[in-house]
Amino acid sequence: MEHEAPKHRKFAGLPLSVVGPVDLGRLLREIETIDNALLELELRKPGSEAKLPKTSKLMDELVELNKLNLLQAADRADLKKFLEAVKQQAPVLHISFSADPTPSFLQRLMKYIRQEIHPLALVTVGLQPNIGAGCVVRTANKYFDFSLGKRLAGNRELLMSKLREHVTAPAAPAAQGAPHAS
Amino acid sequence: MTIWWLVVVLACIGAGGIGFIWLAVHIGRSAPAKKTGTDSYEAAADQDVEHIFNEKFREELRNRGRLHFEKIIGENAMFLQQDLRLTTSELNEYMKKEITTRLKEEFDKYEQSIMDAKQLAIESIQKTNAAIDEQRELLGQQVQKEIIGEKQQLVQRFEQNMTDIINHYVLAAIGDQIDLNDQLEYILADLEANKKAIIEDISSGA
Repeated sequence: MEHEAPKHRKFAGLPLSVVGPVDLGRLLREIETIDNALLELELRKPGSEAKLPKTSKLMDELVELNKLNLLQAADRADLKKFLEAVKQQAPVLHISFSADPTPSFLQRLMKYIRQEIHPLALVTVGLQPNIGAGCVVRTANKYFDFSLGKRLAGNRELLMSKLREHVTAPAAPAAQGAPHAS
Repeated sequence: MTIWWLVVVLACIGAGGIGFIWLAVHIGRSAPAKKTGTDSYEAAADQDVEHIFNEKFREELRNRGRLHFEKIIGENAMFLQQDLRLTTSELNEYMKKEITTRLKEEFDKYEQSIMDAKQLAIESIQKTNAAIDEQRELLGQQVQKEIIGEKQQLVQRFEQNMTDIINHYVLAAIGDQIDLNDQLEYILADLEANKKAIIEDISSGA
C-alpha cells in the first residue's frame, strides 16, 4: 500500500514500531538533526573529520521500509514532508490497557490496525488498571469499551440466571460423607 | 308515726303536771275574806273556819296533797318511762329497719354502679384490644411490605452491581496473572467486530 504524501515520491508507509504521535515527533526531530548535521558537513572545509549522527532504530526501519537514502537532501525533504503530513492527517486511536503493553504486543496490534483500519493510523497507549482485562478504544467521536467489566455487564442476565439457579437449587447435604455418630 | 305519738304523750304528761302544780299553788293560797255588814258573824265564821282549818289541819292537807301529787308524778313518770322504753325500742326497730333498707338500697345501687363500671371497663378493654389487634395487623402488614421492598431493593442493587463485584473479584484474584499478550486475540476480535464503526468515525471525524 503506497501513499502519496509528498509530490515526487510514493511512501510505503510507517513501520510497525512507529506507534503514536510521540514516535512521529521523535522521527521529525531526528530528521531535522540529520539534516542539520549533513548541512554542517557541506559547510566544513575539506579534509576535516566529519561524523554522521547515529540514527535510531525507528528511523532505520522507516528508511528501510521506504527505501530512502538520507544522504540525499531530496529524500530527507520528502521524508520530512511525509512525516509532517502524517502528523497532521493520520487518525489517532487512544487505546487503554490494564498494564503496559510489550513492544511485540504493540507491533501485532499496529499490524492489524494498519492493515484493517487505516494504513497510517497512530495509537496513543493509555493505562487504566481498573479495566482488568481487554481494552478501551477511543476515537475522535466514539468510545468502545472492550473491557472485562463491560463484557460481564453485557452478559449480566446470563450471570444472574446462573446465580439464581444455584441460589434456588436445593442445597446438597452438608455432611454427606461425614461419619454418623453412633 | 311513732315519733309523733311520743310527742303527743309527752305533751299530755307535761300538761297534766302543770295542772297539778297550778292546783296545788291555788289551794295553798287563802283568799281574803270579804268584810260584810255583819262583822260579828263573819268574825265567828272566820273563827270557826280558823278553828276547823287550823294550821295543823292545813299542814296535814298540804302533806296529803304533796304525797298524792308525788304519787301521781311517780306513776306518770313510770308510765312515761315505760312509754319511753317502748318508744325507744320501737324507734330502734324502726331505725334498724330503715337503716337496713337504706343500706340495702345503697348497696344495691353501689353494686349496680360497680357492675356498670365493670361492664364499661370490659367494653373499653375489648375496644382497646380490638384496636390493638387492628394496629398490630396493620403494623405487621406494613413491616412485611417494607421488608419485602427492602429485600427487593437489596436484590436489585446486588444484581446491578454484580458485574462490578465479579470484575473486582477477578481483578483482585487473578488480575496480576492476566497476561496482555494472551488477550490480544480477544482484543483483535473486538476490534474486528467494531471495525466498521471505527473506520466510519475515522473517515468522518478526521
